[in-house]
Amino acid sequence: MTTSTAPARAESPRARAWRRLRKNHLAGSGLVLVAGMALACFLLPSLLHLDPTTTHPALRHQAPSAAHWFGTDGLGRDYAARVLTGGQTSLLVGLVATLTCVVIGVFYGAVAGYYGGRVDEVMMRFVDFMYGVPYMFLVILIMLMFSESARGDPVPVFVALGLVEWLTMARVVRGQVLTLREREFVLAARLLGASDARVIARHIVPNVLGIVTVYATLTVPTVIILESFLSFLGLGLKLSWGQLVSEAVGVVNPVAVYWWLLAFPSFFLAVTLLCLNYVGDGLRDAVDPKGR
Amino acid sequence: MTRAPESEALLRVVELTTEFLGDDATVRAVDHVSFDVKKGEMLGIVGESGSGKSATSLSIMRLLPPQGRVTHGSVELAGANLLALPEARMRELRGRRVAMIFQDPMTALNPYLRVGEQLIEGAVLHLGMSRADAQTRAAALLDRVRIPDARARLRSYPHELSGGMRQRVMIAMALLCDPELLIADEPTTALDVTVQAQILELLSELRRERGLSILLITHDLGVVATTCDRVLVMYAGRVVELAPAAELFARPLHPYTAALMQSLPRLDAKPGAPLESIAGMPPRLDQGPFRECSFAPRCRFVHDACRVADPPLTEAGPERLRRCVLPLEKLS
Amino acid sequence: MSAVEVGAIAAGVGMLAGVAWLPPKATRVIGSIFGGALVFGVARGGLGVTGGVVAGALLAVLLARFGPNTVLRRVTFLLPSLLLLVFVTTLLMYHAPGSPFAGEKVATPQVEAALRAHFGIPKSAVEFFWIYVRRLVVDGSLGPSVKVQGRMVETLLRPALPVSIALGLLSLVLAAAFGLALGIRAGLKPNSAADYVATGLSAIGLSLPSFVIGAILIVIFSLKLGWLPVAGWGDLRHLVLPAVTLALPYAAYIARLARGGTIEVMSQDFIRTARAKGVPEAAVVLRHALKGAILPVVSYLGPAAAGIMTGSFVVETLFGIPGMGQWFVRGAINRDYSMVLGTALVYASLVTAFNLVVDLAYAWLDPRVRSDA
Repeated sequence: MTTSTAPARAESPRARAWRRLRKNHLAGSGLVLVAGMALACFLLPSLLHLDPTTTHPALRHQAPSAAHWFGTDGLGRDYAARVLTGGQTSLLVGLVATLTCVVIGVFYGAVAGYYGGRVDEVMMRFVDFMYGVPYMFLVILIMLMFSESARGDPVPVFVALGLVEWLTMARVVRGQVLTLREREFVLAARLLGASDARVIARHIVPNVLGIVTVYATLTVPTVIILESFLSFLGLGLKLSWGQLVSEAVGVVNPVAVYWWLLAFPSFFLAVTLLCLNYVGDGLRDAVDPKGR
Repeated sequence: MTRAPESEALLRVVELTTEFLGDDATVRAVDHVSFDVKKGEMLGIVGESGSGKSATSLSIMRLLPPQGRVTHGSVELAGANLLALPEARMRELRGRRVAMIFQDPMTALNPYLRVGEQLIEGAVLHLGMSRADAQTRAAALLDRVRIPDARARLRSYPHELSGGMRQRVMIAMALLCDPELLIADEPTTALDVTVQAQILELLSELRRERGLSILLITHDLGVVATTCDRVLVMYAGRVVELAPAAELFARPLHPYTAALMQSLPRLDAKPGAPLESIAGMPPRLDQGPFRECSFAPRCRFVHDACRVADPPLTEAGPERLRRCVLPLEKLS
Repeated sequence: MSAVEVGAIAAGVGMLAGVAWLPPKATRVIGSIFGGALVFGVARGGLGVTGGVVAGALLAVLLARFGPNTVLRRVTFLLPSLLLLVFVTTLLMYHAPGSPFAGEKVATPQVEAALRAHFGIPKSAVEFFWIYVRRLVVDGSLGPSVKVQGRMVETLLRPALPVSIALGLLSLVLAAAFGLALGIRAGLKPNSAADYVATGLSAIGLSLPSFVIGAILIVIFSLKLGWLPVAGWGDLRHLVLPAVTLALPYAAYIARLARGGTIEVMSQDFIRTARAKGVPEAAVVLRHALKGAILPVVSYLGPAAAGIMTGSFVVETLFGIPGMGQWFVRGAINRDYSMVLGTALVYASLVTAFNLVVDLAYAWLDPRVRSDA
């Protein structure tokens, strides 16, 4: 039963999604916060001449003060500098690994969905198989491929995380392409003699972009968390939020509690992930209000 | 106004007004609607989608979605105001004295439960029957609504039945506790034409057999023509015409009703003649009270008097009401 | 990668696809045989070869007679999957720098060659794969560990397996219980205070790495209150904090799914039908809505199990629990090939076994799936 009897106004799906998103204050504030966080991490260290590496043996484990806003760590390094610089790597990992997984996932999913049939069957069987393998397992094995000396180098981490997180993206894109392929406007374009490449570029890709954006946004926090797991197992990056947090967890002891070591990076990490999750959910509601 | 004597009216709806709170505005889906259903009568409510007919039925059952609210009026069942009952009392009454069937029997039956489970629920709940007795009763009723092999069907799941079968199950489920009033909300819309006719025939039979009162809600004039005693036509949340079925079809007294009839496909139409439709769209209902006749923008007979004010519902002969200022003789 | 290796991977994926195209009857036959073979492989460890044959044959007959199609399809899929898993893992390890003997004092190439022959680790990945699979099939052994010398992988994993299973199952149960309770409550009254609390908690649960939550729990319950041990393994009290830590992110996600499922189901027409019958609200929820509301959660339990296995690597390290995750991480870092493959096989089998249970539960809950199969 419907009560709105107004003539439907013409509105493009994109305009409608944008209107819905703007009404979602949670997602909006999330976006602003993440942007602010990124700006702070990338600009503040150089603006304030913060130095994350110089050690001061006399200033070990200092609680937060005016000189050291976030205190100092076990080697007397300024913790604010370390948290902000660590943010750079964490955000970068999130971004680059997600891009990797978007590229793989979209390509894989589009091919499977567009050609369908046996091609699709074989490709999706492989995705099913990959789903059955605990992904941490693969990440660790892929990390091993890079030499010992590359430990702390971000590139292997980008690759490893991107290589395991593309599965959901591929599935989503494939599902979308599979239905798009059967839609009237695509059939019409094909009947009018458009080439495969043109159909994909003009009709398929623009229509999956929305859903890809949504899942990409939701992949960033997953990737950042995975990186922190790797750091915790001693396989992660040299200086990232995950690495700072795991270091802090390592020095948890009953005698002296250096709360700031755990609190600041955890807070930054949690706020970033929280915001990204809200932005992703907001985008999803905006693009596809019925989907989840 | 000609009204049936008090004693005969089973359901009396007076000035029922229902509003829905939207994001930005309040939609008045039902606007001062009054009618009654006599004992053993079948009353049809006809209107386009969005005319407020379903909101009316849900208001009577007090099953409006959370954003919907009855803001004015009363609903009396045999003299007791349903809108004033505590929720627990209302619940005892639903399914027991007033039952309801819905448009889409595909979605209205629970896909996760066996048909039998869903059928006997009411009897166990309202009549205190044992499950075994309730099953016997349910099987007998399934048999009555002409479902073959009724006993075995109790163990089926809804997806194993055809659309017509499911609607029969819905009817059996509604009648299990011998209600006095059955509200049928678009009971045949989702069904094939031949199945539609069977279901309508079944409803008529059951009504005669049991002295049941039926409120039949539909967008299809053809459906009410064959089955109902009286017909209420709704437009934009309001009653625009009320008349005995035969008279309504012989001589519609509101341009909207007339237009609806002309948009029905006719057997005696010239081959190749285009099917008529009503131009324009129904008005928005979230803009406050109407300042002119709500049908004026789409009306073929519109003249200056229609633009002055929203016309009231007036008597137009014995048992006939209409909301139109056009002189009767001009309508033809 | 060599051409042989690429070809082998293609063949493996082709095998998976081939299995998918089998007609239902063939799936039934092959699935039963595969199922029997797998049970034989597992039972042989405990019951000996004769016992294994009996158990395998028994299960094969049971599967062929009573197994639902979904289960048989999954079992048919399992054997090629495990082979592919072993092969891919082997390749990854062989292409990683370093070897099992790199850290040892390998004096001469002759000594290394002797060691390689002794442990069955030749220089070619494909050869290793064949040796490994033959040993697995013929002897039912996961092979010798290189780092813990003189011990077989299965001997090392046997005490760790129940620890990991106990931790994993308890976490899963906790996650499902908390998540469902919180999510359904929230979904019944969207935008209420209870909903905001639930969605807020779940957002936090999803935004903190589990080891941070674990560290906070340790500080509060072990260091400050002294109620629970910090780490280690022994009695049930050792299991509480790790299980809670491991469960929280999944509880958070399950809560979201359950909330969504509940909102979706409660807006369905059949809920209105039930209300129109005069069914009390509690029965509307429990009898009519619950099944549909938890379906999305049930289908998530499979991936959740795989995820919990992953999380257990971290949680076992944090709490010093002697589970399988530790063996895997150590094996990977030490290039103990047989150990890595052994843990991989056990993990994959656990996840598959769990997915089987989930399939059965789903079919039981949703009659439409049951008759489709």
